[in-house]
Amino acid sequence: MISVHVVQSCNRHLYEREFDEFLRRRHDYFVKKKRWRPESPDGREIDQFDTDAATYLLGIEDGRVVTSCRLIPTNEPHLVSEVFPDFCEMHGVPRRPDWAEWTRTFVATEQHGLGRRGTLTQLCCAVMEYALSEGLTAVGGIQETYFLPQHKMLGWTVRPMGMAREVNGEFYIVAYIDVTEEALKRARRVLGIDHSLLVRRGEQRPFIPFERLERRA
Amino acid sequence: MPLASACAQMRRLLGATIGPKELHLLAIPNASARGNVSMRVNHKAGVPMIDADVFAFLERCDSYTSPAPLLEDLLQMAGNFGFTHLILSGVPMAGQRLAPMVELMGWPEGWFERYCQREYAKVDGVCLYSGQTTRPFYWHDVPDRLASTKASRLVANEATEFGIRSGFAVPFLSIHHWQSVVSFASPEPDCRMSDREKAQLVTMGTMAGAAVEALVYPNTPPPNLLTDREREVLLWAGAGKTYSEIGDILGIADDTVKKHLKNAREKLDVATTVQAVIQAARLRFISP
Repeated sequence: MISVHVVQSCNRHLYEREFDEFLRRRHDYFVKKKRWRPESPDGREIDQFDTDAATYLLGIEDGRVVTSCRLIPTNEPHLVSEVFPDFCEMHGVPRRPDWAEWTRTFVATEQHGLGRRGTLTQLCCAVMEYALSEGLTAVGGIQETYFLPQHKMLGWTVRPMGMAREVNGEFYIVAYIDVTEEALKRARRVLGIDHSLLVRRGEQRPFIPFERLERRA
Repeated sequence: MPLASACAQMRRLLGATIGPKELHLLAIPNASARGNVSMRVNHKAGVPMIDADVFAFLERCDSYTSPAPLLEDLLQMAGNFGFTHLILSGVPMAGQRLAPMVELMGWPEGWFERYCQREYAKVDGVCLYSGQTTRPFYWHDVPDRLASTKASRLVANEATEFGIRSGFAVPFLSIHHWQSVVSFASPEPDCRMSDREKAQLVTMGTMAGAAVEALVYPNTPPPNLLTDREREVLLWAGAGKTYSEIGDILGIADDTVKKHLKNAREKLDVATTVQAVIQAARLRFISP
């Protein structure tokens, strides 16, 4: 079972090695394998959304980063709002501090078959746990249609924002998942666990800034 | 007991175990209902479907509490693109049998029975390719190495007797199977869709797949005692592979394979690996 570390700008110094490994793995997957972006000479993949607004979840097993993803508040510029707004023709582009865009999901390629999928399920469970603990109400974003049923298998409620579209031979869809206690419970049941997967070290910043929470209240 | 004969015995036992489930699946929907669906399809291929119809379908997907009405609805929607039949199923891997993996059966009467009986899943290029790609594809784009074998061409040829000549398949991730696919079939020799139609069909196929998985495993399976690796090793053991073959396939040492099998036997409280495979299949931890 992985431990999922919450990494933000304020505690990144505690994760120098892991964060660098994370950027290199992103490069291996999103640049070399998927060819979504041009090669970077330093072998690290960074885009315009890797700002201080981002929160990273790094799944670590035996000291290695085996899975990871990035969460960004949708009231900040994010991948869907800036690059793929036309994917949201049904419900419009979400712009809410309590809706997080979930991107750059990655699972180490040296893991095979079912092991790989198990790791993905653990990451999904950790995302739900983190989102719930931060008071978010939905997480989601653009994803390959291939992976979409994964959320339903965890018993989650999935809301497509629009039609799938083909980009370079692969189909993508923008969809959000409801964040609820029940959703976390169901994901944990699938994994057969009842404990937290999250690790929080050093300083942590609330995902929804305090003043916004107050305003909401 | 030599592994080969152990596996043969296991398959016999499994056949007995899975029998009722197969019958159940074959019964959904029954043959006459299937016929009616095809008759009622409002065939307007060539007339573009509006996106609102697709969105309405997505909303309906969540409301179904059994596979039959979902199948009927999906068939009806696919009819707008000229598709008259469909199957939604786990993709058989490593010698798995197709029948227990089928979730929605919308094939013409007789074809599914023949397809299973003659084990066409092992040679049909469309079926094989469904397990090898994550991208939606036209059947006519299946690579030659799979599609142009003699056996695969024979399957394609026989399918025409049942009014199936071309098609489009949408693979998707599945929690219990290696992966799953929803495959739409057309009586036309060469089905074609515009980019927009393709996007609409992929959207509906994917969400139908998601809905089926949520249906078939309501609130998810019983807590799975086994780790993914243990399930994987059992699956290959069930396919008749030796320790070293399994080790090669999974890229792990023979001793590690043995260790996983030992753990699986202990967790399932059985004495032999054969019993472990059977027990794991019964509990749907694996689908040999």
